[in-house]
Amino acid sequence: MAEALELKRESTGDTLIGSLMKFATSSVGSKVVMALTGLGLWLFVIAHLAGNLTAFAGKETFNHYAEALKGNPPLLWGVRIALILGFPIHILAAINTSMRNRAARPVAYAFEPRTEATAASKSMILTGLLVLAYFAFHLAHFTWHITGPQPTTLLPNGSYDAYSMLVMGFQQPIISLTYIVAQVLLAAHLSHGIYSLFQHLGLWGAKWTPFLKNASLAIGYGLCAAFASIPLAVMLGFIKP
Amino acid sequence: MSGKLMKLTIHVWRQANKGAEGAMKSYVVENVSEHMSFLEMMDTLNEQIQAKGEEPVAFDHDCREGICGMCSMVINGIPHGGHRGVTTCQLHMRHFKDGDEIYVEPWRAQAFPVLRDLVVDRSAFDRIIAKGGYVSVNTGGAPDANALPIPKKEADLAMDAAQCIGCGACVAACKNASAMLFVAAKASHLGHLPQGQPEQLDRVKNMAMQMDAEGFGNCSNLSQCEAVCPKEIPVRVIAEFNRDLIKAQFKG
Repeated sequence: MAEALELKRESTGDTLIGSLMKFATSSVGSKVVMALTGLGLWLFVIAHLAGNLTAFAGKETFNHYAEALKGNPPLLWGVRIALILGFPIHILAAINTSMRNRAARPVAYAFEPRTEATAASKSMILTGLLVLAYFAFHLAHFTWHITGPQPTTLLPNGSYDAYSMLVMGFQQPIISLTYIVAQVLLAAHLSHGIYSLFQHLGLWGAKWTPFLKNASLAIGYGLCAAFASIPLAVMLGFIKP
Repeated sequence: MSGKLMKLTIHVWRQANKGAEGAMKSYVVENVSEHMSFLEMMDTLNEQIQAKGEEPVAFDHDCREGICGMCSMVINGIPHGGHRGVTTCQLHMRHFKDGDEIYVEPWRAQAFPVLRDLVVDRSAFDRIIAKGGYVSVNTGGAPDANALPIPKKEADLAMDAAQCIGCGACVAACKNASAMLFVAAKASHLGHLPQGQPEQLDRVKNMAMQMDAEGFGNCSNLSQCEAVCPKEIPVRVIAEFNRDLIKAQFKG
């Protein structure tokens, strides 16, 4: 057992943090990191959606929600810092694993294999990168206010009129369309990602896992439909300026 | 051999040795009976190649009854040919029809270098096993087999994984050439039994370390391994392996 003892912390002299850092760059470990950050990003998406849906309750409620968010710096910055850390770590882990994967098969098969694996599960990198590109545009429009139509007047109480910005933006078909396409890509990413993250964290169950496979499809595309309902409602006139 | 006779076109990977450049080469093989196994078809092909004075196609084979794990061909893009729970030697030619074109390639992975034609070096698996795919047995009289109670359910889970014959089809099928199904099957097989439990956390840590060192890819949960596994080992074992490995980070 000389070999097996070699990785015990008492023999390598690693601290817990040190050995966890080593694990985080290993093949299974980088997937665990991706799963944990993915879980965090997924929860953020749900919370973000819940906030967005207040747009259906009208201008006042939505602006009230926007002000409440801005008026709560610990929450706002807590989430922002989590995103600022979570996104790059998720992406770094993805780069690490895909580089290892590429090196693991230097010679491709001459006959393109037929598989039952879904297109979504095989294009996680692609959907991830496209969602990331959209995320930058989304921030520029809705957070930094440097692109897209922006309201010129403030609300009577001096706050930014977030509701009008949302409506003005989504009245432009190209902005709505980009938004909806990005949601479909995100849905594809989540439809495999949700199932996958539980598998990476070792949370398997005889009844749970088959349920989870269907649930991640439903949750992924369900979230997509809920997000897309907002630009659609603006364009169809259900959400009025 | 009686039965319908077929004429097939076989596109096969030819490579003289480990360092040589390889390429796909096409052959026509005649008089293939539908009762032949895929390996018997390859034997027939080799007889016809040899009759022309050429070098026969080298391929791994041993028991020819689906239990040794030696045969290793990617047939039309699918390891072992894509019939559930079947190794190449148990694949019958009745699944093909006269005039078919069949692509036959070796397992493709950095960790499985091609030695010649369809023969790959799978000793990476042996080195992973040497890191933890065993139980340490101390000296003394052998304990009575029935003295150690094992719940039926646990024994069944262990047996699911214990069926692994180490053929490497999981690696060949995975888009990332990941060995997770193999490694996890070995760990699951021992981890579900009381004899394997004391060393389980060290086992998964060391086997995972060796798996990385051999240059296998990562698991992307596409379950392509499960689909081709001739012993139908479920990806459940991978989740178990992940869980044990996470636990080992804190307890190891």
